Parts: sequence; structure tokens; C-alpha cells
Amino acid sequence: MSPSEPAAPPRSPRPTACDLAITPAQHSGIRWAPSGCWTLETLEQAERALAQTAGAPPAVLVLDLSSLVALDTAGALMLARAVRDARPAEIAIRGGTDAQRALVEAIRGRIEPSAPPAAERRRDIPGAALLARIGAAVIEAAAESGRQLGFLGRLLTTLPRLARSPRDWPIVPFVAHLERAGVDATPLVGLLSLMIGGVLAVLGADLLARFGAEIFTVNLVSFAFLREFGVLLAAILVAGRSASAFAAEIGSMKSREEIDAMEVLGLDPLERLVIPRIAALVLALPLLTVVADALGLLGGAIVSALLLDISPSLFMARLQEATELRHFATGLLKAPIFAVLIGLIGCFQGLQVEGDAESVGRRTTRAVVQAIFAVILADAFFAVLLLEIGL
Amino acid sequence: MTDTPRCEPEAAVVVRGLVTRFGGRVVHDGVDLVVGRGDVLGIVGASGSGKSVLLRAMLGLVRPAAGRVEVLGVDVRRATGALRTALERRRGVLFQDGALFSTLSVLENVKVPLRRFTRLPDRLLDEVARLRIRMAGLPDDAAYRRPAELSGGMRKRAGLARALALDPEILFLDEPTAGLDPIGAAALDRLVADLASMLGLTVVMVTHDLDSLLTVCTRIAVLAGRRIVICGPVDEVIASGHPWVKEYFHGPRGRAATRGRRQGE
Repeated sequence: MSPSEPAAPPRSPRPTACDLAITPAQHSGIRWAPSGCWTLETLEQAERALAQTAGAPPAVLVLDLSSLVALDTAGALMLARAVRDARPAEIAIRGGTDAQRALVEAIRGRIEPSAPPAAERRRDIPGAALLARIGAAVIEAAAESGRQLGFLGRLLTTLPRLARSPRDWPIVPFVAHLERAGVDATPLVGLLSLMIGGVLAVLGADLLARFGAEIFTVNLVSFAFLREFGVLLAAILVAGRSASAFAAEIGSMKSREEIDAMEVLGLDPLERLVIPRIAALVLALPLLTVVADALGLLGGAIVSALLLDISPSLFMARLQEATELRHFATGLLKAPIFAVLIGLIGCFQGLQVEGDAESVGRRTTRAVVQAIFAVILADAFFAVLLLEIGL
Repeated sequence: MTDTPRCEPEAAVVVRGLVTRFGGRVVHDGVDLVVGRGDVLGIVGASGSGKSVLLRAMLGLVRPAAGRVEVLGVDVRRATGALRTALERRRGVLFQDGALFSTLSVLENVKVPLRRFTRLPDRLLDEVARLRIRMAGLPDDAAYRRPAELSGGMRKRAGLARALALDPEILFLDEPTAGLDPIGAAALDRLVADLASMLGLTVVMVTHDLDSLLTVCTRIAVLAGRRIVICGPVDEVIASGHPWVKEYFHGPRGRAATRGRRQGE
């Protein structure tokens, strides 16, 4: 058929009725005469009309299209399907326009040769699906831990090479990430530390006042903040901000094949993307920890002065007396380790993205959850370790 | 211009004095184009000449700085409510990379427009959708795969299946054969030509594929210098003396394709 042939039936009238007349034809045949509009809108009606065609296979089936008003591919699908299921020995298509006959023939050639199997619904033992999901999750978790370790290993192998050639150091992205992950996080970390420091002082004062030991509030705030809270607060906030950003950035680069493009050009994505991010965090997190420590103590001091009549000068004196440098040092010691964990998890999840947008979202969520989890787990480990070695 | 203005009620697409601008960059400066019902129009032009933008303007996705675009008698930017819904029901669109919804399987993608405009039971929707997928030339098992698991060519076919879901009266195709192998591209050309003749479909396609231009299209519009410089039946456009058209159709690649056309006749 050439495209220049006059266009098929006008499709402007859209009545919503269709019918099928079934009459005997010669040579023990049967004649189907569909009428009205056989289109997507009337598909259900068409199917009902065709339900009466079930019966023994006729010798000759005459499909008479002459009383059709409109026919589209959906209507033709219904007719073609019914013709297939009627299994006639012979089929003749009459009437209608050339285009309509061609359409029915074309659809007959394209439908499945037999009725499609009912939608697959596996019947399982109750609970089996749940068990299978748990099993799959465990296997996937184990496999991912393995991949994560492999990632750490690959990262470590790039370090000696990078150390030998300072010209290749990714200084510019390092500084950019330092700003985004460090400087931009400072106000948030500072404000939250100030408030938590104040809350800690209120709680401590309330409890210690019963023993007439309000002054130990200073010990509580300084001990808690310098050893634990400062670094933990900073790390959790950085995990929320930066692990997600790393995963989303690298993930969308992965899904747009940018990572592949880098590898083809001989640029190591670990060197260019991962190292500067992790290095920026390793420098930023200790600095943020110092900010958190300072503002946490300030918050404690403000609340002490307002509620407990411990003047700032007394607070300072008590602080110097009660707190040793090692408390501050143990807190600060943990910061670079947390930073490596956060950066590693964020970048690793980003590189695990495959294909679609949903995958980027899933990996970003997982990066934040795993980074916070890893930080708290590591902190618990350090608490026990440092206590055992008496620091 | 060789195009004589048609009686407008017969036209499927009417573009009048279209001007589009992105910031200070003028993409179109007074584009006039009429596509008749049943036409298969190929829009050609150099890369960056604004072919895709013109197509997007016809879909109402781009706000023109001036001029108007009517599709099936409906102003695509101003229409609201039932009029707009009716237009959406009667047109099908294939974007360049398929633009499938990435969270849905191919079958679900094809069912999205069907669900939007009909109230058929799921069983029938499945059947119609599976037919579309077959018509677009995809194997049956592709129906249950996600777009991310398909090759570029398969994504394009799946996008075509979705565009055809509602048996549209007008089909907009953005580079339908780009990225397909020659066999797949020829099959797609044939499908579009068959549909155009069987259903009286109007097709507007942006394409660089000389073979599809010569085998499927009944008319060609050439976009150059921010305007349609020539629009008419294929042979007339090829024979015209416009320098860009000459280079396009009578360059080495164009000659090979047009020779094939002459031999085929």
C-alpha cells in the first residue's frame, strides 16, 4: 500500500456503540458482521459481543466489515483474536475499505498464535516469599561488604602512585569539596553544638544540684563534649550532608556514563573523584570537631551562668582544672577515622548506581544510613578501646 | 515557498509566525508550516537549527515568543480543560531517547496512556499493550523488563509502542531511526508507513535519516536560517535549487540514497 492512498475512514464521529451480527453463510459457513465503532473506547463492549462467537470451528468464516463506522488497531485486535480462537478452516474478509481489511490482516499477523497464558501468579508456601527476601538481602549484604572492602583496597593502591607524583594531586576539587563539606557545614554544626551543650548543662545541673554538686556540671559538659559529643555531632551532620551529596553526585555521573568516559580517557575515577572528596572530609571533620567542642562548651557556660550562678570565669577555671588535654585529643583522634568512613561509604554507594533515577535515590539513602551507622558503631568501639587502654 | 496554503480545517498542524527565543538566542524567526491530514512530514535541517525545538513547540512544551501553533485545530499553548485532554488523547509522541518512565516495566509504560484515557479492565489493557509492543517490533519478553535493562534501540521501540498506545491521529517522532541498525530502521520506517496508510495517521518526524525521508515521508520541510525555507512533496524539494537542500540531498550520502530511490521506482 502506498502512503499516498486516500486516508482511512474519518475518525471524527466517536459514538460509543458497537455490535456484532452472526448469520449463517453458504457452504456451512458463518458470517460475522461487526457494526458501529470498534475502537479503544468500545473495547469492552466489543469483547462482550464477541463472546457469543464461541462454538465449533466453522468451515468458512466470512468477516464482513461493510457496516463498520470506525475501526482502530484495538478493535482490529479484538476481531483478529476472535478469528484466531474460532479456528475456521477458511477465512474471507469482505467489505469495508482497503485500509480496514489491511488493518485486520496486519493485526492477525501480529497477535500471538494462541491465547496468552493467564498472568503468571506463582503459588508459594506462605512465608516463603518473606524468607526468600530475607535470604536475598543477607546474600546481597555480604556481597556488598565484600565489594566495599575491595573498593577500600583499590583506593589504597592508588595512594602510593599519587604520593610519587604530586603534580597529579587533585588540588582544585579538593579545595572545592573542602568548602562545600567543611566551611558550608560550620554554621549548622556550631549552632547545634551550642544548643546541645546548653541542654547537657541543664540536665547535669538538675541532677547534680540534688547532691549539692552543681559545679560538676562543668566536668560533665567538658568531659562529654570533648570526648564524645563534639566529634559525634559533627560526624553525624557531615554524614547527613556529605555522604548523600557524594553518593548523588557520583551516582548521577555514573548513570550518565561520565565515569566510563573518564576510564576510557585513562583518568582514574578513584583518583579524580573519590580521593579529593575523602581527603577534604579528613581535613574538614577535625576542624568541625574543634568548632563543635568550642561551641558546646560555650553553650554549657551560658546555661551555667544563667541557671546555676557559675560565672564564666569560674567555669573557665574549673574547666582548666578538671579537664586534661587527653580528653580533647581522644575526641579529635576519632574525627579523621569517621571522615574516612563517611567518605568511603558515600563514594562507594555513588559508584554502585546503575542506570535509572530510582537507583540514585536508593543509593543516596543507603549512603546516609550506612554512614551514620558506621560512625556510631566505630564510636562505640573506640569508647571501649580507649577505656581499656586507660586514656 | 512551494507550499500553497491549504484550507486550514483540513490541516493537522498549523504553525503561524512562530518565534522562539532562549535568552538572547533566536531559534526560530517566523516559522510558517502547515501539515495536512494524512501527510507524513519529515523536518530536516542542520544540527542546532532548531528542529527539535520546533517539534517541542508543536507539543506545547516550549513557550513561543510570538506566533501560534495549532494541532488538530487546538491551540497547543492556550487550550485548557476538555479541549486539551482531547488533544492529548489524539496525539502520540516519541522522544529522542524513548523517554520511558524508568521505574515502570515496558508493559506498564505502554499502559500509562491507556489507563489515563480509558477505563478498560486490566486484562484488556494488557492485551492491547502487548499488541503495541509487538507492533513496535519488540520481542514479547521485553514487556516485563525495565527501561534500564534495554538497549538504546529497544528503548526507542518501547517509546514508539507507548506513543501508539491510544491509536493516535497524529504522531510526533523525534529522530525515530537514530541509533537503530539498518534492518531495525527499515522495519520502523515500514511500520510508520503502514500505520499512516491503514489508519490515516498524520506523522511529523524530525530526522536525519535520508532513507526514511525518501521511503516514508510524503513531504519534506527544510528548516534553515531560523525559518522553513522550503516545504513540499519529496521530489519537488529534492529538485529545488536551494543551496542547503542541494548539498543535503546531492552530497555523497544523499546521492547514494536518492539513487536507491530512483532504482526502486
